[in-house]
Amino acid sequence: MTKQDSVFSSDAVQGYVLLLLACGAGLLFSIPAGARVSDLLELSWSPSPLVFYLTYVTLVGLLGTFRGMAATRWDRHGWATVLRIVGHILFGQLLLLPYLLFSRSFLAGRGLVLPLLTLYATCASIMFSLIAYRVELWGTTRRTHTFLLQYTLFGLVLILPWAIGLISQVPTVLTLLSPIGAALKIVRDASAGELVLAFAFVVAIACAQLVGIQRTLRRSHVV
Amino acid sequence: MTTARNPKLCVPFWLLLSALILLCAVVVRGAPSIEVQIGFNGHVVPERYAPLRLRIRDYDSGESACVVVTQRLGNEWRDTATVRQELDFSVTSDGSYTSTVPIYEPLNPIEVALVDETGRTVAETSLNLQLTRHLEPFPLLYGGLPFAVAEDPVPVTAAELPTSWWAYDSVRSLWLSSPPPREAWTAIAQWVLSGGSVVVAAGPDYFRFDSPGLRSILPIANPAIETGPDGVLHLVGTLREGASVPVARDGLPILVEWTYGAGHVYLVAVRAAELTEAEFAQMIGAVPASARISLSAVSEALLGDLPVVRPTHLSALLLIAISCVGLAGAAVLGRRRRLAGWLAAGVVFAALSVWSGFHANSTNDVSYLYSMNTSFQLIATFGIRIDSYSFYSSDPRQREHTIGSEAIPVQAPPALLPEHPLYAFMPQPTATPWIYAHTAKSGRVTTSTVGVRQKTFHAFAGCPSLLHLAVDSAAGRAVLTNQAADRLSNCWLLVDGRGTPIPSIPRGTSTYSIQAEQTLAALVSETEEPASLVLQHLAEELPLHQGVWFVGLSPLLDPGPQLAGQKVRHLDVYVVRGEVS
Repeated sequence: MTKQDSVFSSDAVQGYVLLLLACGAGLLFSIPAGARVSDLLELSWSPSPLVFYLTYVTLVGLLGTFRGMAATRWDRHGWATVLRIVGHILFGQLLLLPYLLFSRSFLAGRGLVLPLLTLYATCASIMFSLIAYRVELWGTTRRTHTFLLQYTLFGLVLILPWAIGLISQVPTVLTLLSPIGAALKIVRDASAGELVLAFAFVVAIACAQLVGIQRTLRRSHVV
Repeated sequence: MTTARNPKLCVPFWLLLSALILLCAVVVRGAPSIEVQIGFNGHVVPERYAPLRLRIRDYDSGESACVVVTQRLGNEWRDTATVRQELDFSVTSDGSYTSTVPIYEPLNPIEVALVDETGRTVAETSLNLQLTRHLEPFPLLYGGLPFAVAEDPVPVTAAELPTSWWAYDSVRSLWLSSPPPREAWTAIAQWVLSGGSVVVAAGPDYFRFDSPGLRSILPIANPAIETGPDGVLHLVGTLREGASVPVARDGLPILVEWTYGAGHVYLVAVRAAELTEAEFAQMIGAVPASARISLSAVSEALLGDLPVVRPTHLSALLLIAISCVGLAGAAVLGRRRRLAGWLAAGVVFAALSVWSGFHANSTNDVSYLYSMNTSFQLIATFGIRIDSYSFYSSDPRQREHTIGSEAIPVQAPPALLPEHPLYAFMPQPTATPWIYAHTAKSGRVTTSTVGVRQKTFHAFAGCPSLLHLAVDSAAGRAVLTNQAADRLSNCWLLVDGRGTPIPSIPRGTSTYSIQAEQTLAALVSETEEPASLVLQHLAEELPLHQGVWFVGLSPLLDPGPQLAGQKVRHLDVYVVRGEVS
């Protein structure tokens, strides 16, 4: 019997297969259809290669949320759980590595984008997993269902700053607080300042979650 | 006591007065001004070039400034676009300047500004051409005519005759009854070569008109003056090959017609005042409207034919399938022995990464910008160059295109959608209106492909006659002197619409025997793309069925260093009209 915290547990493998299929679909959509330029002109809908990168960031974030939610059922607690969650996320990244290298052809020679985006997606996924884990811990101690709350939080962090940033009166820098906005910026050439802001936000939220998780676990031990 | 009476006060008084006058003069001189004239007496046609004459006064700051022409298209209801054109000269002092600008939609006033190096507007003016706007090209008259041309011709003075051939773009037919200035003749001849129609009402005053420019386009050789049976002086001469006489009186020609390149030349053999009304009406009926030759359609077709650079969908599908199978295999192993599972996953996905890394190497980099640049050179006694640039971009960001043309490029509506107004193909306004800039000085066009992903521009220039074709009809030989391209891969020598392909042309002089073996249609059908497409288009636009012609095409080349995400192809087309001896 495979342990639940293993990357080869049924639950985890299902998640990884879904990740591979969905990101694969994004990859297929991102390849321009048509053999000649005239075919591209005749096509009324031709998705941008950004589709793959947006799918990738969203799904790696979702993978983090899934793993974070599942972590409360594992036999480990504290830092060991956090490290195991990170292991699951890194395994997911290993599975997506061939896709990412394949997508290099969409970046027209901008080689640095790929490692930056992978690093950012990993950080964002860890952030989402810690948020999910903390909320799940909080729900377990209070015996309340947090299912909807997890996804609402995921959706809010993923989309809200990006959507607000699109309003012309709001500074566009706000979009960098959303993984979608940050991923778009990284793919389209972000400045050093923008990169620092995007990474700093994700790392800060993740650290805040770590502190929160530690406090919750200490309180539950006391109880 | 007055100053006049006191000589001590008189000198300072006059000095003070002089200083005051000088100060006033400086203050008054401190405000530069611009006077602008666009078009022929303000007459312009949308989407065609128009001459621009500029007079700058009171600008002596010593710094160079540029002239920027801003045109606003559309209106708030239909959406708007702004076209900003920086002209091809620097202003350092007062004076007169000339240029040629493409006119897009002159319903809104056209703004002309003098902008200094810091971007500050030093002087500006605006021009309303609403009332002098024509929808179609109009006849232009230099001199006088005894009867009215079908539509009121626009009269011009000698100073208004432009010296760049594309400035005549909005002219349907040019009527010359006085000799134009020497510097305008070359431009007129080049314009005729490109498809213009000129009527030279020289008659017996021919020798007042005589110039190398006129001689090269004249439908007669050895001109002489003769008194006709009607007692009227006629200009007579030997008709050139292909010339015809559509209007005659008592056996002597009144009007002689000839095609020169893609255009038509009409020579009136008597004085305009001696024409009868019927002859004049016949003459007007015989003169066709000018039709500028263009390879924009060819450029668009070749652009459409470019292969899309991308990795294949099949390779992506294969990658997805192998990844899923690899994960399943690693999971089966990993459930028995976790380490073995990790190892298997590591090996499988590392191998897949290497494979996909190799697959997605630079040859498969997706291109976001495809560009087809066609440079067409039509050479007779004079040479002209018509450049067509077609772009397709799937990236909506603003891009800068470098265009090495003498003229400001003009955007043409895509051939696929000719019924749409041009402004629809301009960048559309968002929160901040799009600026669509043409900088002639640096040969750059800044454009965005928001909304429409394909754009076509054309630009014109004069060019030296780098290829020369001399035909010795008696010996059946043609001598081609090539000082232009290093190699022309597809070449044909055509005699009265029949010809034969000839091997690639080296630089220098080559002699060929004239063999009219195949018809043009047969040549087109047996030639491969893109050469067949070009040859067919040229056969439709030029009188290749008449006279001796050389047509040469360069290979479809990548002009410079390969830029990531861009696929640029360049094609040179040379068409030379032979001089038959």
